Amino acid sequence: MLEIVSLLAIIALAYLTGWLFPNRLQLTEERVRRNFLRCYPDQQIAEIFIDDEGRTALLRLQNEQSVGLVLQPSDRIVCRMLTIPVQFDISPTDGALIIKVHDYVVPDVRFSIGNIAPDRLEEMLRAGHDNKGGQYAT
Amino acid sequence: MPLDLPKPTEWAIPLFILCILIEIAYGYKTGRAVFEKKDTFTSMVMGLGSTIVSASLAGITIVTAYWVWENFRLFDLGATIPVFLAALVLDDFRYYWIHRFGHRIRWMWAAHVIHHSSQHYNLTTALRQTWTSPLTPGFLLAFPLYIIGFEPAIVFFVSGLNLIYQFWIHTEAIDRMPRWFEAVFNTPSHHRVHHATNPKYLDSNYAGIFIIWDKMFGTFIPEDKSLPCRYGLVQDLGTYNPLKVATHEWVGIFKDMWHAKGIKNKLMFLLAPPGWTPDGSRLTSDMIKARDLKYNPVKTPKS
Repeated sequence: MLEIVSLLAIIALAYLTGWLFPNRLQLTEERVRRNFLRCYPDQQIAEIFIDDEGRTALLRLQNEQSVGLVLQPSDRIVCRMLTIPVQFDISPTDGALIIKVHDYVVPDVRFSIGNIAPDRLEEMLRAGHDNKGGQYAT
Repeated sequence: MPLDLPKPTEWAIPLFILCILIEIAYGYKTGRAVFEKKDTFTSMVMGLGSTIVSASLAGITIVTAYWVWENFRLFDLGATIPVFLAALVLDDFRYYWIHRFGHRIRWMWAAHVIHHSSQHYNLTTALRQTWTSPLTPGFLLAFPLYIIGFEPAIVFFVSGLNLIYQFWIHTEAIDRMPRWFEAVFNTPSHHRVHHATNPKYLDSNYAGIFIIWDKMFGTFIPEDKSLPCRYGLVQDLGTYNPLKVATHEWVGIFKDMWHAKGIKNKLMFLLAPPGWTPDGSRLTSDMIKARDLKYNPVKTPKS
């Protein structure tokens, strides 16, 4: 009983914080670049694609065997560098790509393509197709 | 007959909630404390889960501790006020080392990483506690206290006080305490550095109550106002699912050990610092610090 009351109190507190601290931030090229390079300072970004909802960005890197992924699951940013095609799968759907990252703590991502030419994305995502990457590369 | 002492953490729960509400109001008014709905929910659910796990295992913990105390103690120290004070100081020393090992040994990091997994730093972060510490050897570090002769009930009591002390230091709302206090005690400023992922700040300020342990053992780094703390993990989580938050590093260890070649590599994935790999393809905190010096000596801004 005490656990249920605690859980209800937690939900109430979480909603209170959601109401008082609404999250309006979206990804911008500057935020994507700054945060990705903070995580991977030895990488060079060639091109940034941000999805229509401003929650996900894919980055073409000078190192064409990998692709950058920047997510904003809430008000904070999460970055990953993914070896092509070892560490993720992509399946196209209606006006979007579903990115399934082979990472326990990164949920499937819906990347709304919008105005981005699909062939440019596809070219990037297939660039390192023959590369299998290091065993422990993250 | 074991001493019957109150459980400080149970007493403190209403105070914790009150303080969180005050910090939320203060943050809303001043912007000096930031919260996020999913983060708050996850942190507090982790706290609730941790309490449930501890309560479930209390019987085993108590029986084990008393068995060690009754069979191996060197002295019978009794339960006077000086004994309580000595227990508080020595238990904090124990905490320093268990905390330090918790960052430097991946087996123990698998349990402690939960506490660092929030990208926010507020009082709810203090409640984001592990569910899996019983799976680590950390409990062994309390045995010397029992062997010296501190009754386990006293050790449990002062450990509870230690945990309560550490609640209030998880905030950005307090800048600095008076200089004398900062010199001796762990403070919000010192602990912000501990939670920061800026390379300069990694693996520092492990103290519980007394910051003097870090100063004695060379792990103290003061907060640099020109380098704002950025919180979370060097590879942040993309999920708020409490089950995944609680288990992700264990899953990682299991996968790495499964695929590793040879016993030595398998053991190293368990015992080496987080980020260790045989081929160096991931980064330990030492490697991140070295890389930072090479590539990016500038300040790390917040996202």
